[in-house]
Amino acid sequence: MGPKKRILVVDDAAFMRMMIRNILTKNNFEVAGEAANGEEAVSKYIELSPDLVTLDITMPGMDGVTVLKKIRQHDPNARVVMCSAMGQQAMVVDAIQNGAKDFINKPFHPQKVVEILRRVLR
Amino acid sequence: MTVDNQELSAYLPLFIEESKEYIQQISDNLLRLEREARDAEAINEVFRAVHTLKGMAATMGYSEISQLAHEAENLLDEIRHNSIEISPAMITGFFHVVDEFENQVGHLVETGEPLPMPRQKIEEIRAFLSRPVREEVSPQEGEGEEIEGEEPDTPEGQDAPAEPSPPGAYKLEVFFTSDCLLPQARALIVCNQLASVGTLLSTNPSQEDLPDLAALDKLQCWVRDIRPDQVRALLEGGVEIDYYTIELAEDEESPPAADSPAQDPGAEVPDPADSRHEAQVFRPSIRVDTEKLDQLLNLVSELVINKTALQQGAAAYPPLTEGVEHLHRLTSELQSIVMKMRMIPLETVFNRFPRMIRDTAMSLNKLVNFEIEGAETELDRTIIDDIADPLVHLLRNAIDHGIEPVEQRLQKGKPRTGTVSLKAYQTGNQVIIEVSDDGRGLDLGHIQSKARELRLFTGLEADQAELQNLIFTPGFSTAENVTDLSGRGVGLDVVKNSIESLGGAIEVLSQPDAGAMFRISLPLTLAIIQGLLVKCGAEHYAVPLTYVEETGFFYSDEIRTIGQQEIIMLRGKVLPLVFLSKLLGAEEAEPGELSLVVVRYGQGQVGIVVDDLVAQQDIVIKNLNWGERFFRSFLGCSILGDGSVVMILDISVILSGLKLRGVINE
Repeated sequence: MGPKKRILVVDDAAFMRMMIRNILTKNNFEVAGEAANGEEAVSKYIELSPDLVTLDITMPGMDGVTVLKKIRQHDPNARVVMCSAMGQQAMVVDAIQNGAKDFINKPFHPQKVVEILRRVLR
Repeated sequence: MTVDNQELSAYLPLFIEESKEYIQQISDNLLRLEREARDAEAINEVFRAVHTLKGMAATMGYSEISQLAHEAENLLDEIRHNSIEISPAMITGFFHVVDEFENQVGHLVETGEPLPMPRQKIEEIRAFLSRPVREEVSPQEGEGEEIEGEEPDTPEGQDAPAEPSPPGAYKLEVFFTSDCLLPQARALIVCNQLASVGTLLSTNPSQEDLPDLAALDKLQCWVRDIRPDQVRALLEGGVEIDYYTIELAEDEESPPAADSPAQDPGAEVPDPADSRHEAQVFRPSIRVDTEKLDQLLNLVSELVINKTALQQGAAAYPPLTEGVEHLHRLTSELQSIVMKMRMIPLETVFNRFPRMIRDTAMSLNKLVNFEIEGAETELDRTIIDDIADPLVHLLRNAIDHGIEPVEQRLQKGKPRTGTVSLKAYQTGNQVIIEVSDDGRGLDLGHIQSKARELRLFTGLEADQAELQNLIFTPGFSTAENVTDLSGRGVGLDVVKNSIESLGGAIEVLSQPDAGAMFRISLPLTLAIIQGLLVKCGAEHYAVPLTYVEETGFFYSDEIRTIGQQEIIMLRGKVLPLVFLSKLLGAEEAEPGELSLVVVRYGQGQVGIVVDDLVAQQDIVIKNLNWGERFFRSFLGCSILGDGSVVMILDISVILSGLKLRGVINE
């Protein structure tokens, strides 16, 4: 196994960040940092250059798709996986067309989350 | 995830029904592969069916079935991905698996429990499945060891197109799981992934259309500059991807141009590869409990009866006429739709035969080519259920007694491989099913001597057709060797009986050394029959028209008696008489002119004496479920347009109660 992959977790809800952090640490990922809004997400990405970002689609202020575009402006190879709840099809599609590598649905199924992240990181 | 016990019992019937369909699909496609080992589509079909079965079984918690399916799937996957030509040994191996599936499902039907399968058995099957690959793959595929580095497959797996396909152009089909939340987004991810490795030529639905689709279950992609193993690495075990197929794009199959007008989400890209395999059109359908259909038919017939009463009323009150006319059209349409809903294609029965023919032919060491025609012909469900056994019997006979061993066929100058064919078609209100073979035909000499032995006729020579049809007589079997399969003397009479009980008839046509053909004619439906209305005493009765040979009148002084049996002479032949009034305990008609219905009975005829012949018409059969002995004389009852009830006579039951035999045969 190589070094642990470093993940940036972006979600405005602390509860969701905790969920993801638990899933990640149990499955041998490293949580490089957390961000609670879009601006913070972009600056943390530049600061940490993580291997992957889990990015909530709906956040107050700058929404997920905008954050995605900013991150990819900075790093065209950024690996971003969107986190979405039901009923956000249009935004998910929009995000994928803008370079998101994949998406995970809330509520999170730990196995699925891990599987998706591993595939994106390959 | 497995379902809990309570849910399980609710899902079981559907599971069984669908499993049978998938097992049938597997079997059919294995037979296809047996004819054409390179039929990539057939392999995909088998794979899909096995895969689905595996998932279904796992959900139900039937680990025996799912494990078995898993083993088969592994081998299939290997075959698919490495373009291995499937060998006869592999097909036999898969047929073992099919048999095991059938065992399992059979056990589920009987007990509701899967058949416990010892680990050893699974190991055996695993060994069986893995052996042929190792033996046959390695020599055939020189570079088989390093699968990852293999070159794109050459087009020889396809039906040798005239010009070579552009190398490396593949058509992919990706199917998403049913619980996939956003298949459209998944599809886009697949597109992005493919585009990141190779060149994505085109997709269906197009990438522009994808985001706006309401639903999506599969994505077709045409790609280039990408190796199959790279595609595999991307898609294998992909999130929410149920399964996928890769095939070389056909030469003439250019992907739809990127700027082509947006296609209907449901529209298929024309695919020449499919048309070769009689592309099937799947229309959305629902499953309905057959009992509900029966109820619906009942209600519709009530409606028809009431409509008739209204029509009579409207005649007396003209303002109603137009409305009643409209009602009439609507009810007839409704009636015909309900009748059609009860019809199912013979396919459901025919489908199981290819496998049976194959096994029978193999066990008898004969070469048989089996042809099916008209499997789409539809019949009433109740008839379909009962037609399978007689057909199995006839088909086995055809192989066992009809088709000669190869040496004999060669001596006779016939092709090595015999042909057995099953053909169905509709003519008027009847469906004809013909079972024919190009074998030795019926041995007339044999039949004649056997007939003498059984004293079936005396003196006069029977003509050829009569002679041939003697084979339907009980106890009549000319088989010299009793084989496993047929020739036990329990035979064609049983076939004939079951067909007659369905209101049908069977006859045989045969030419020595050219073969024999059994022709079965069946009514389209049992629910509505043509009946002859007769009067007896104060009541009307219906005689199913299929039994009626002719009707006529005679005078009571023409009646003679042979032994205890009353007869008349009809065109020089003895016709035994049955008085319906005596049978039913009705009051007897006065002597004088009597009405006669001549019905077929066994090889002969019987005259049923009634008071009057009333009319011939369609009657809707309603079942009598009272179970009392008296009612066994009736097939059921029917309600006529005027609301009166008529009983429908079950001719075979009525006549079997009488000791007419001696009279008929002498």
